Amino acid sequence: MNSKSINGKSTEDIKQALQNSLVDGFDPTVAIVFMSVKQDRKAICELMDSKNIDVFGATSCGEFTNNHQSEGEIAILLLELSKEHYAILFEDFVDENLDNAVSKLANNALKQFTNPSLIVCSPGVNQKGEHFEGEKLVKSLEKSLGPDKICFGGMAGDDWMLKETFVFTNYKEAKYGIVALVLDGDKIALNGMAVTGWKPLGITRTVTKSKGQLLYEIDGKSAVELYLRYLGKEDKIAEKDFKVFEELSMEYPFIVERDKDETVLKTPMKIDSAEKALVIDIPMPEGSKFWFTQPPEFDIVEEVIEKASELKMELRTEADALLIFSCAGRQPILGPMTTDENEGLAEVWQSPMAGFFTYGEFGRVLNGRQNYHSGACCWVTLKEKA
Amino acid sequence: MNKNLQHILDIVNQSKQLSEGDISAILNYLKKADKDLLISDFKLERTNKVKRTTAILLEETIGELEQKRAAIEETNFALNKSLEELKSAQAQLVQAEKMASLGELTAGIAHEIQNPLNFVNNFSEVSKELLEEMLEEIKNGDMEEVNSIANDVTQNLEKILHHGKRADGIVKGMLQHSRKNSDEKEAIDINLLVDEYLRLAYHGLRAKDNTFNASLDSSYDKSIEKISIIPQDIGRVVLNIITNAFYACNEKKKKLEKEQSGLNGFQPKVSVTTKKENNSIEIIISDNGNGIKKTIINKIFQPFFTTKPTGQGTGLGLSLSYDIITTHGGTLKVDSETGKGTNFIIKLPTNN
Repeated sequence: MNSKSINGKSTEDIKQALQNSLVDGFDPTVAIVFMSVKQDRKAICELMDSKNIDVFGATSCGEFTNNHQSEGEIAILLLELSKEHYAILFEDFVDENLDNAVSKLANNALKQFTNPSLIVCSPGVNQKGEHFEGEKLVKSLEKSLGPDKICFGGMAGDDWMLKETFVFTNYKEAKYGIVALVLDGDKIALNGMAVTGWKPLGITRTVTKSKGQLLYEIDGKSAVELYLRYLGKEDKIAEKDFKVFEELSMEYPFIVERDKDETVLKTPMKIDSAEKALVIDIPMPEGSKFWFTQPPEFDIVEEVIEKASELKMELRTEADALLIFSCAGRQPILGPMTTDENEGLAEVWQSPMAGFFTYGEFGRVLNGRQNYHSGACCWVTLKEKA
Repeated sequence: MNKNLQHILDIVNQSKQLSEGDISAILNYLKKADKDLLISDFKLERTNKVKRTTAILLEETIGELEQKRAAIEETNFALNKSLEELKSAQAQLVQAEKMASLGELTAGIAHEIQNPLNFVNNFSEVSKELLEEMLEEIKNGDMEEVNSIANDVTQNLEKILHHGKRADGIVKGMLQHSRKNSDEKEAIDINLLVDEYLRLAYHGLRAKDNTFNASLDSSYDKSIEKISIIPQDIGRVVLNIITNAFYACNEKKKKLEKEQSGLNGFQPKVSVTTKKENNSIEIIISDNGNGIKKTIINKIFQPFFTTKPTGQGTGLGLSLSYDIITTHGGTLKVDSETGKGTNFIIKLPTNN
């Protein structure tokens, strides 16, 4: 399968880049589009439509291709996939019927192929303006498809505005929708993994009072006071408008136990002053065990790349294309090394690459089960089977 | 770009002596150096920031752990105190159980002492009369009769002494039973010990309730030699199990009496058997009472478990019995069939 990645600051740039890519007879059928909410989605879709290219798209919080990383621009991975080997599915929903929408999408995928593999993008923000429940989506998808099916993907972004994110195809677009590139797993192999790098720090903590996304007490003490005091922001406890996500929790989320040997990051998004509680992106039920965290060390970049090399050696395979769903929160932590991480992965796989900075990631840690992740670098390769 | 690198870049760009290829190469190196500098600056800034935050977090955590340690120490102290109090209460309960079993013994003991006392009284009275008779014969000068009476008196006094010693033995046994544990083992004839407690238990119950009646069956293996045990402890176990056995068959009798079918030939029966095995002896105490329900049979050796009405049992008897037998290196097992009766099997090693 041939593939190419292109990027541009505008629709015009993309039009030019697309033209250039076609010169050598390259004939793409699918465009995986990651673009800023500021860009003209309709224009890009029309452009692709004019070339008979099917669009799988999501808005981003920064986007990248080989040797190029940007904010507010457009990154596209073009794939020359046989029409028989893929389908692009789309379902929109309201929060209450997410399960139904996922189930419908999964059943459609199973109708298309007996062994479907999925690339999935969902919203990053839900209808209440809160962080989208990625965990719920993954669980629902696993339930409908079965635990052995492979899914990778990410939650759409909106350049850190945290207001409106979009997923789209040539014909449909939704703030609250799921788009899936369904591949025939018997023809196209997906290989990948998710790595976070955040490590537990200090002693095990227990949630002693919580309700939904509100975390009131940790070990019997006020969660707000404990969180701010322990992370050196005691002076902000009384401050009503303290931006806890931007100034603290993006770097210091909680790490929570789940499944066997697996953890997930849960992040305080804001402080509910009236309730005197932390508002967490993913609910932390009473009794949950968790830790404060230490952000990834700089060698995490080498670790991500090393693990990818090991997997490549182990599987003795190559890649036709590479997709990266990298948590938007990695940028402030790893700075310029985030680029090294993405470039390093493209280097390992020696293939065209595109990706975006997400509000949540879907995939598997090495030898793990299908899961939702936060703070992860989640990558996946596509390879046409011989 | 870094200011210094920018200066170099400006100079390179203005230089007319460098070829385009050299300029391009230098430009490339400068870009790489600038990126490396950028990464170094970022790493330094982040490292300092993370170090500061991590230090605060760890300091706070250490402070919290220190507080928890102090609280745990305090709790530990309180727990130790409670444990001591619990041990003391347990010791008191064990003593109370001993005294309770002594209470059960009292009536039996009284019965046992009454016999020798009767002998002592009777022989003393007869001896007094004989001595008065002897004084008469002395006055009469019939020395042959005097000698004969003196012999009778001597025999009577020997009997008084014998029965006095028997009463003394019973009282000493009672004191031994009630005294606090001593770990001293003695070589004991287990058949005699079992028989003594069987009789004490039976007479004890008869003294408390004169309507109580049960047939006693005993079969002792005479080949059993003396074994080393703490007699008052094993005695307490035997007494407890036999008393329970009497209680069980008496309860069945009372129940049957209330029913329409009546006793229908039922006769309470307790049998005690001793047997010699290879390296152990067995004491089997059986009753034909109601048996123990399967739902509670696993609980009967638990402390404070009792089926007796409130106030009639401490619930410690079988628990203590179990402890005593296992401390002797033996086993205490129960085998029961509902409606038919129960066997308690005490197994004690002979090489203890």
